[in-house]
Amino acid sequence: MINFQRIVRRREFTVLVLILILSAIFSFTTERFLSVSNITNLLLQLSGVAITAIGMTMVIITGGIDVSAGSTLGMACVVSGYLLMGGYSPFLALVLAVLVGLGIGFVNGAIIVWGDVPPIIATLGMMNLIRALMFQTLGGRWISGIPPACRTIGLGKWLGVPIPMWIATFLIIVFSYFLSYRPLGRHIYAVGNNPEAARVSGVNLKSTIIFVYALTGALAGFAGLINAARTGIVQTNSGMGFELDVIAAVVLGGTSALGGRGTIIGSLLGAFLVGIIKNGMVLLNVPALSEGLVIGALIIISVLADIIRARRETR
Amino acid sequence: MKKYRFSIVLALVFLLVFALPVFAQEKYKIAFVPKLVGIPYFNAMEEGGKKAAEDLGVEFIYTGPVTADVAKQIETIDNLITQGVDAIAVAPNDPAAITPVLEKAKEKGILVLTSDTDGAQEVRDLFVNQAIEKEIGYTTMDELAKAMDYEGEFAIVSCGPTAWNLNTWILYELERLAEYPDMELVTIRYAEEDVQLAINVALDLINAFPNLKGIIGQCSTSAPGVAEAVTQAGKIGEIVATGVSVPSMMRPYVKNGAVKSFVLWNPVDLGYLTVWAAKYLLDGNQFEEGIEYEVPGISTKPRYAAESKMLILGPPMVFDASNVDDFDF
Repeated sequence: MINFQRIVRRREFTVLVLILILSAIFSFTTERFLSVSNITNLLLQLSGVAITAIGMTMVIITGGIDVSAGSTLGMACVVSGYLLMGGYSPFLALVLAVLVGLGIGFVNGAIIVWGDVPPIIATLGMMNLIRALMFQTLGGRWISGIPPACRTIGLGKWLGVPIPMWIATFLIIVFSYFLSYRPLGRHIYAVGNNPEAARVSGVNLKSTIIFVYALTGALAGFAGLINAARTGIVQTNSGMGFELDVIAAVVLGGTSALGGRGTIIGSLLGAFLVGIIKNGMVLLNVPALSEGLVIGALIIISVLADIIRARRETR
Repeated sequence: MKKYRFSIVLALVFLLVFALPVFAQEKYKIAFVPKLVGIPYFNAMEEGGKKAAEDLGVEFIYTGPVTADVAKQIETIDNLITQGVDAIAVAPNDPAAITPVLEKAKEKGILVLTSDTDGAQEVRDLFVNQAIEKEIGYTTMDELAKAMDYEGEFAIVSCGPTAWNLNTWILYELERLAEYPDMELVTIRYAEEDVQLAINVALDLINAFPNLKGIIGQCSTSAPGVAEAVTQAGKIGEIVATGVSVPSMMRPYVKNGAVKSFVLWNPVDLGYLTVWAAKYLLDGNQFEEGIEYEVPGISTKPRYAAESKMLILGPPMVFDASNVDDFDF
């Protein structure tokens, strides 16, 4: 039997209801919201955040954070941009973009685990380092004019849905299964809930932590390739601030900032919520500068709601 | 003879000790701080500055923040003051926030200029202006109107919401709009100095306003961004993009038809003029009202407007399919 009360209590449910309410409001007030081109556009813009949020969810579940995801995405944009411009196959660009991300993520994890450096410090350092490296590589020039032929992974569609969204969906299903049913997935929760207990019960803390950072890096790298292919332009600023969008999606989606709790589906819903709000505000022609106000307030309210609920439960 | 030799040696030593520092000081250090480094537009200004430094025998320093960030820009200027440069030219991200640090520079005896965009009007010694704001705004609006056949809805995608130059151009665009009663501005959005963000914003706008016929990309990063969005949305021919940007970024969109024409000046010349003007003032010269200055190394004859302490490079240029290939910045 399905326990409805448990479902309703879940954070994912609240976010889903919020998304439905907002969608209803937007589709009544503007006829353009439900148009095919708007939805396609929305899905395209979301896919990069949704893909990277898979890894970020796991990182935050372990009680960590990765603020270098935006720089990693940018670096992968640069690498794949050069390869695509140089006439190499998009597949090679994909492999190298993911490998670059994986490498950066692995170093993040290694510094955290073996150097005993707090995650925010390690990844903050990495964020600046990679950005400087991007600057060196690009030398202030942009990559532009990536040939349309190799931009299918970013611009193409299958059954009317953008390819990046298919990729995001596939990865979300695979990793949701992994997180819920595979031993390593369960270890991630264990590490976030109580690292000491996890260690005693035989979880390899170090390799679990390195794994989540390496995965986040690899996924950010993948999102970087998609981003380069979608926009066709790579700038030294590419991906700047992207990590904040990802973290916002994860936190809004119910992953506890204190670790131990959260789901990938929740993060996807969080990404949808932010995306729909941004999109709806343009459609309703709300002055541009109040966008940050709404999203910022939403993040604080949602975290507060979490804390209040946690207090009630412990009472 | 021996007596004399000693005197000569002494004289030479004196000459070395006292004259060398004078020779060393002769080489001015002139710094330019752009809104951000790493975009083609400011790269072009850097190129011009470097060329001027070579021609005029001064040292040119080009440094700035990696995002269009006011705080980082202030930090950069602070460092330059500590380094002890002779002149600082800056393209402020925020005209008011930049004032205190420029005041500090001036107290230290540093010549303070703004270039490309103005700010701290009561502090700076000179504003090196690419073209009169009114002409840029009017020309942009005229080019858009022509491309839209003088009717329909259009939107503006600007960049930093506090950038003085962009906001002033928009002001004049709106003033000029009165000439075109059948055109309507539906919204103004901001995309920072980020081309990918500009693409997203423009795609949202294209969806939000089904009758949209034109988009202005107000800065050098947002203009190619809106053109790419028009291309991606498959709206070439229905929606026309224009704006203020560099030929190297706009070329593909002029070729594919998303852009009919766009507006700019020569940023290489602007960089050159900035360094030239700083040297001119450091040498103790003054600019005079209404004179057209001969600046070797640039293609225009800059004018000085005493009332606003502004040196104007020349009229804005319009780029289209006929001349977009002639420029390499």
